[in-house]
Formats: sequence, C-alpha cells, structure tokens
Amino acid sequence: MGYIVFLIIFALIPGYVIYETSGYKINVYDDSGGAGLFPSFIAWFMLLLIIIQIIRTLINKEKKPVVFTTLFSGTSGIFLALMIIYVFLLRYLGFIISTCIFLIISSGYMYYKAKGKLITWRFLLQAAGYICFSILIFVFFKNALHIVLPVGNLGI
Amino acid sequence: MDFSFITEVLDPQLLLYMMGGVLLGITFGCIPGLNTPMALAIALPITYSMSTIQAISVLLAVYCGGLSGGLISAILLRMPGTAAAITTTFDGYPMAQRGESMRALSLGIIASFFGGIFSALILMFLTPFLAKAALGFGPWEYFGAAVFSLSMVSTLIKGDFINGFISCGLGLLLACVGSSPIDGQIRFSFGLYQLDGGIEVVVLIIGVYALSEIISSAGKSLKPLNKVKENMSTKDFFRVFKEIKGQIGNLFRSSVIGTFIGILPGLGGNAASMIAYAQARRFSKNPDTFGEGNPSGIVAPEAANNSISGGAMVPMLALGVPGSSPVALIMSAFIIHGITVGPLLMVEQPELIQSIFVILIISNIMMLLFQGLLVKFFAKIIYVPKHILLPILAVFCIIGSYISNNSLFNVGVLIVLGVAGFLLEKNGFQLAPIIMGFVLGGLVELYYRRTIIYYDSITNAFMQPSIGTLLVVIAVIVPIIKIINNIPIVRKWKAKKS
Repeated sequence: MGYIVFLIIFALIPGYVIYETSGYKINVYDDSGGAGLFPSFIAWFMLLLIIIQIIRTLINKEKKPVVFTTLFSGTSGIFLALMIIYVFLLRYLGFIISTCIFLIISSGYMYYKAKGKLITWRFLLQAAGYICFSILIFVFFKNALHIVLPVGNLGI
Repeated sequence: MDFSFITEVLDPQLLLYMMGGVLLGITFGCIPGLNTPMALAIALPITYSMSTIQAISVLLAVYCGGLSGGLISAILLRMPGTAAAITTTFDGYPMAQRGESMRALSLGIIASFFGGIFSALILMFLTPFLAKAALGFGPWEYFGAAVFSLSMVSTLIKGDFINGFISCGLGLLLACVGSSPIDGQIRFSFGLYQLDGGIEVVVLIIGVYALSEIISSAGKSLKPLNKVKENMSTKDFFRVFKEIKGQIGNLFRSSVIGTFIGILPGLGGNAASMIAYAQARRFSKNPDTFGEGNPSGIVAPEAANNSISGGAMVPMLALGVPGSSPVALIMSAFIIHGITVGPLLMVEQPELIQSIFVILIISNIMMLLFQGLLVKFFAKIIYVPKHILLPILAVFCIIGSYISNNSLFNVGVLIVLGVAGFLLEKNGFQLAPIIMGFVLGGLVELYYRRTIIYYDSITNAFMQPSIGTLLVVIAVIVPIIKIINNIPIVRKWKAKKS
C-alpha cells in the first residue's frame, strides 16, 4: 500500500504540470503548439505510466516497502540535517566559519557513531585541518578563480 | 605543404605551457563542482600576452585535460562533473567498488586518449567535408539526433522498465522549468524569479547523482568506499593496454560516434557518450553485465566523450559557430588575437588549422602521460575514511552549485534534488534517466518547435528524405521494441524458446 501512496504522491507532479499548462496562451503566429505542448505531453505520458504501475502493483499484489523514514533517521538523517543547517548558516556566518563548523561536527559525529568514542588529539588535529581547508578553499576561489564564496555578517 | 608549424608547436616553452594547461584541465575536471569552462575562463586571461599559437595551445590543452579529468570522480565517487561523464559511472563505479579502481581508471584514460587522437587525425583530413555535412543539418535533423539520443535512454534502463521511463519523464519535466524555447514563457517557477532561467544542469547532476549518494553512504558503515584493498602501481596502468586490444572495435565505433556528434553544435558529449554506451551494449556478447562493471561500458563513453574535442573544432573553425561553452571560450582567444574564424580561415591560414590538430594530438599524449603517472594517487581517494571524505565532498557539492551562478538559492535547490534523488533511488527509480531526460529534454523541445516553424507541420518534416526522418523512425522503433521485450508474456515466451 505504501508504494501505491508513493506513486499517487508522485502523480501530483504531472498532475500539476497538466493543470498549469492548460492555462498557457498560444501566440497566433506560433504553429508549434506553444510553451505548454511539450511538458503536457510528457506529463500525460508520465501519468499513464504511473497508472499502469499502480494497476500492476495491485494485480500482482506486490508488497513493495517504501523507503522514506530512512532518510530522516540514523546517520543519514543527522548528516542531512547538518547540511541543511550549514546551508542556512552560510548566509549569516559566511563560507569559512560555517564550513569549519559543518566539517568538524559532521566528521566528529560520524566517527563517534562508528567507533563509539572520540580521540581528543585526533579530533583536534582534524579540526585544525578542516579550518585550514576552509580558509585555503576560500582564498583559492577568491584569488585564483575570482569567485567570492559566501561572506557572512562578520565580513569573512 | 609548409611544415614549419610543426617546429613552432614543438617549441619547449610551448610544451611547458601545454603541460600546465593539461594539469589545470585535469584538476578542474576531476573535482566535483568545478568544470572545463571554468578552467578555460581562468586560463584565458593568462593567454592574452602570449602569441596566437601559444594561447590556442594552452586553451586546447586545458580543454583536453578537462574532458578526460571528469572520469576520475565519476569512477571513484559516482560524482560526474559533467553530464557526459554520467555514462562512465554506470560501469566505472561498480568496477571501483569491487576493488578494480586502477583498472577502471586506466581503461577510461586510455579510451579518452584514443578518442582524442582519433578525432584529431580524422579531422586533420576531413574538416572541409565534415563542415559541409554539419551545414546540411537543419532543425529536423537536429530534432532527429536529439530524439534518437533520448530513445537510447530506453536501452540503458535496468530493472523496472516503467520506473525507468517515469524517471526519464521527470527529467524531461525538470528541463521545462524556466523560460520556454522560442517564445520565452516562464514555466513552473512557482513565482520564484531564480527559477526563471531554469535549473542549472550542474546543480541537477550534483544534487540527484552525487548528493543523494553522499546521503546514502553516510547511513552505511564507516569503512572506505572501496571495500577491497588493491595493489596500485603505475605498471598496472600500462598493463591495461593489453586489455584494450580486445576493445578496438568498441573504441573505433565510439570515437566515430563522438567525432560525428561533436561537429553538430549543441548536442555535446552527453549525447555522444550515451549513444556510444548503448551501441557498445548492443554489440557486446555480455549485454547483461553492463551496469555491473563491464570494461566496454567504460571504454565506450570515454572514447566518445574525448573524441568530441576534435569534432567540436569543426563548426568553430569552418563555420565560426561555437558548439559549446568551452569551444566558445577557445574561439574568443582567436578573436582576441585578431583571427576571424570561419570558412576563409581554411583558405587564408591553413597552417593554423594544421597546427590545431597537432596541438590536439600533443595535448592528448600529455593527458595520457599525466593521468597514467598520477592514476595510482587518484585511485587512493576511495581509501580515505568516510567520516573525512563525505563531509568534504558535501562541501564541494555545495561550492559547485553555488558558483554555477553565485546564488545560495541554487544550494537550496541542490538539497531538494539530493533528497528527491535519495528517495527515488531507494524506491526503485533509476537516477541516470532523470539526468539524461533533463539534458536532452531542452534540445528535443527546442528543435521540435523550430521544425514546426520551419516546415509548418511535423508531417511536412517527416516527408523530407533526410537523415532526420531516419533518426526519428529509429527513435520511435527502439523504445517500442524494448517495451515489447519487457512485456511479461513475451519474456516468458522468449525464456521458453531459449
């Protein structure tokens, strides 16, 4: 049942496309079907395939487990959450500080989760390495590539 | 014929510059998020003070290095830097996973070298003829080529066939985000002006393919990505040359595909590598092992991808049309040095054209030597513990998506696509068709609409006795055959028969 629910949710994408493209106006000089033709054709095709997939699952009585919660649990979930926080912090703390924080915490967490302990000297050494890495990357992009990575409220 | 250009090209100082160019290209090609146009953009200002031949040599060296460099991250980390390298991940990554990363990298490097040399040699003699062939390509022929490439996706689908098509459809729909071709109507942007220009291809590739893999790997054990320890030495690289003997047919076929696709502006390496991969699978004695680490699955896309380098020069040199952004950057070097590219260049400066092909050959030789010597160091990336490697790769993913247009919005899109990619893959939807659909979707729509405008209707276009009609017919037949072959009754009947 979970898989069918997943497919139904998935069907909202082509459904939305069909709904939106139905309102597109076509220029009188345009014989090519307008901006909506190609996406609506694809959307109808996708919808048809999703319906076939649902019917097939029902007929075969297949029990396909849906993977959804895995993403939000365990190390994957924490890692994803840290990434989201990192992206949020980029705007306010800038690249160097937020990258240091992200690398130190995520790396430390993953190591602790696997080994069950943190070795202080190793952790500090890695943290120093990550700080150097963040600064080097920032300087390289700024001076060599002339690309300024996000600068936060602190000006770095 | 005047051969003085050879002495000029073999100048030690020039060779030194080219070495730097190749190294820069390889470095930018192999770091996820960085790419060849970026490396060329850095190299371009450096070439201002150089002579014409020096400037062009350096840029071509960067271009060749960058085209090949993408295979390193694609094979070792399943992180293709460009759309063209996606096909390399299909067999490269599984091979690296089972402890044959040196072999996979070596196969890719040698195939890249072969493709590059092949296209340079072919184009040295056939440029005027190929340019004429490219001129004969109108919107219908381009539509045929794009739709044919898209139909090849059906041959790459493994596992659930319907899910594969749904994935491809999703990619095609994602390609529709932003302004439409021809009339510029904004579509599916949800009122966000940042989406008016569409989703950046780099962001989609990194998000769907790389970030989803990082998230997935984070949930697994802390062991390095490669589960098997292997001995690595430069000798292993040269040993693979023996293995490549069995791939000669595949190499030639893929290089011809790459060279031909390369001369058509706009189609690019992704279409070439995909068609080459599909053909390699078709001609293989073991098509079922494709996707599980089949050497032909690495050789074909890499040879095709690098043979683009020579092919892409043809429309630029002969017609003054840059087919891709890296070629446009190389073309700007010509303009800066007061050379007008186009049909007259062939007549007025034939020695420059000859030099370019010699430079391409030298660049490819340098690429082979550098990558051959450095391959054992590259291959060690996958032995870096995951708690160090994954966060650093995540940072590179974020940098890559940020610098695609200096926008943090793109980073948000990256996270969304990464999560979507993770969920889709875990629920049996393949990710490669999404990327293929995305990359080719824009081309298919653009050339479809141009065809209608040009011919008034699709029926009129279909009546044209051209290669476009042939390609469209094949593009329709190929998926139908694949669908029929996947119908359970047909499968059972076939199994019974065999």
